[in-house]
Amino acid sequence: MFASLQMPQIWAIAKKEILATLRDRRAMLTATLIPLLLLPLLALVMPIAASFVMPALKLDKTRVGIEGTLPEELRKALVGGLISTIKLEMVAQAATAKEMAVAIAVPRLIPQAIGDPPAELVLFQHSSSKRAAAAILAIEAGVSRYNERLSAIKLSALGLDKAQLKPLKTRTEFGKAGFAVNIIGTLLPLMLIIWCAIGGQASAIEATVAERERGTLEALLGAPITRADAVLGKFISVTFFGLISGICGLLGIALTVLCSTWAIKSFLGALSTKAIAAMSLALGLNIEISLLGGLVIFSTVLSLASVMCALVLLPCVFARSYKEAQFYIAPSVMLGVGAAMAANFAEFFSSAVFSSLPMTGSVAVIGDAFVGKISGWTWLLANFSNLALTAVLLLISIYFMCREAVIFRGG
Amino acid sequence: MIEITNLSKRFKQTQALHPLNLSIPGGCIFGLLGQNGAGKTTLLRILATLLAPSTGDARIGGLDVVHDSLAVRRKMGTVSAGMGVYERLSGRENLHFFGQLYGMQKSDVQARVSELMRELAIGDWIDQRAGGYSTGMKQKIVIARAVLHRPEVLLLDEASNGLDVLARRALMDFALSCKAQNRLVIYSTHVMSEAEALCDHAAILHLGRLIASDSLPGLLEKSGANTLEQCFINLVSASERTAHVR
Repeated sequence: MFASLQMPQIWAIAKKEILATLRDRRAMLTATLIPLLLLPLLALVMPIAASFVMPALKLDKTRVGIEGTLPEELRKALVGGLISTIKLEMVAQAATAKEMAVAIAVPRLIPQAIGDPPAELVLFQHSSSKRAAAAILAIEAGVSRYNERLSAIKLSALGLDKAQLKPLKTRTEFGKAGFAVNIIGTLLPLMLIIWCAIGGQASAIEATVAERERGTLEALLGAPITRADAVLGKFISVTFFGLISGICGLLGIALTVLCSTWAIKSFLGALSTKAIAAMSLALGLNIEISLLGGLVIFSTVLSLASVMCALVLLPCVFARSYKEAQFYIAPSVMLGVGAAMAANFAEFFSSAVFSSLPMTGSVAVIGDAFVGKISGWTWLLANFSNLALTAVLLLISIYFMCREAVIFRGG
Repeated sequence: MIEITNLSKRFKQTQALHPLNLSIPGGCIFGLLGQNGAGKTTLLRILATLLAPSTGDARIGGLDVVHDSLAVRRKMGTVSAGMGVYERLSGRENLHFFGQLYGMQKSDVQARVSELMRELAIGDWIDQRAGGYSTGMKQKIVIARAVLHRPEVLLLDEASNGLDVLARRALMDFALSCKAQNRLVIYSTHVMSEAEALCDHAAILHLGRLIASDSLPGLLEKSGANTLEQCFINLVSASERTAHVR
């Protein structure tokens, strides 16, 4: 089949598809401006909105029901800025009491000094709300503080310092890249997958479903080209727009950093130094990538875009209408996102296994390249698996393009 | 020019074409007549190499439609009722694109487009985006696209559907001019008056079966009718009676 590929015809089809999509204003807006401006605009709007909204916000305390009597020391430890308590006759009341997600059953005897018999506070969580979960955490922290206080009193009575209870401590220091590499290494390929799919989608639909709906597919396939020529020409166009969106998405992330830095400085002045430092770390402004690392990232992004665009093109070849194509594209994108998410587990397992998984391997390779970990073998495996999957998806697309039942669906 | 031997086509449970044999001479306008669903489009799609026959074979100028499909397509141009144009491209860009697909040199395409601009009177609007064209204008671009590479065979599959009187007249004149250039035109239609005005020979398909094929005078004589419409009705009725007896 590939021996009969006609390159001039493939390029002609690719150029025609690119020209047609370039002239589709809405498709171009979706493929370029949205990835470029969406995140920067959010980064601008959020601090501005926060500067207006935050002064007007008042934190609502979480109400916790208590059955029994808490000793004063324990009450002080439990009731912090976020919790207020309500006396209950029975814990069961809490289930019916409005806005009360947590209740505590207090035992009759509470230890008030080291050496007293141990006791147990039973916590009832009546809802799975975030407020209830936060209250449980706050209560557990309060109990821990209470225990520490009792220990400190006992140690003091024995003439010892409470620090002696923890002779060995830990301290974490971030490397130059900090935890940003994790965020960037995972987030960037994930964003690329989404932007590539969004960018390629318009061209994929224009080149396939629209071709069938407007009645040009029959003329195209009646020309002296093979079905493989047609699919490859369309694939080049889809990948072109997928990459444009991906690049716009990358520029958008860079713009986001600039916009949020400016917006935080301008609108959240008092917080700025700390916030900017945190953001700088989180967004990886301090990351330095070598030329080799850059090449590894770029080549992997290319193969990642190609597999994603093939994944978007395939259902469009099969679909009989715009609606059907959009219905199929969503799960295709989810497949890509799922594969990228799987890379979160890459560092716990043998790198060869993950590197040989299409898309997943690329995300791991890109993440590694950010911390200067470059392995030719894993790079090769990741890119080969992407290209192999791209080839398989294209072969399936060509198979569908050869099926009479698909070409003349509904016609 | 075209030799069809024992050709049939089945789509799952539907026998779209029963085995048929047909010989079509070159340099004429050959009418393919039949009601909707008679199998005209299926037969033309097989000749255009878009569908593969279930049995039998078809040869165009000695080339097999299955095994020499690319060479067959170079000899053929197709216009059908449902065909459209790339609406974000101008008429000229549409034609240049297909010129590239047919492997034509850029200068050849330019010269041929100039010829077609005169022949089809499309010069005034050929550089506008095709999205703004009327049905008739689009159909002229579809016709220009089909004959751009000077095909030996032109398939017109109900190409006059939806056209106004003038556009229909232009299409018929164009078919006649192709015949004058010694090309074979296969004109599929269910409008008998068009076929009567244009065709030298005709074949009548009914429910996927070839029920008659002859020159126009031969068909009229065979059916004992004065008009092609009456001839069609007589032959179809006779075919249905025969099928009923069977």
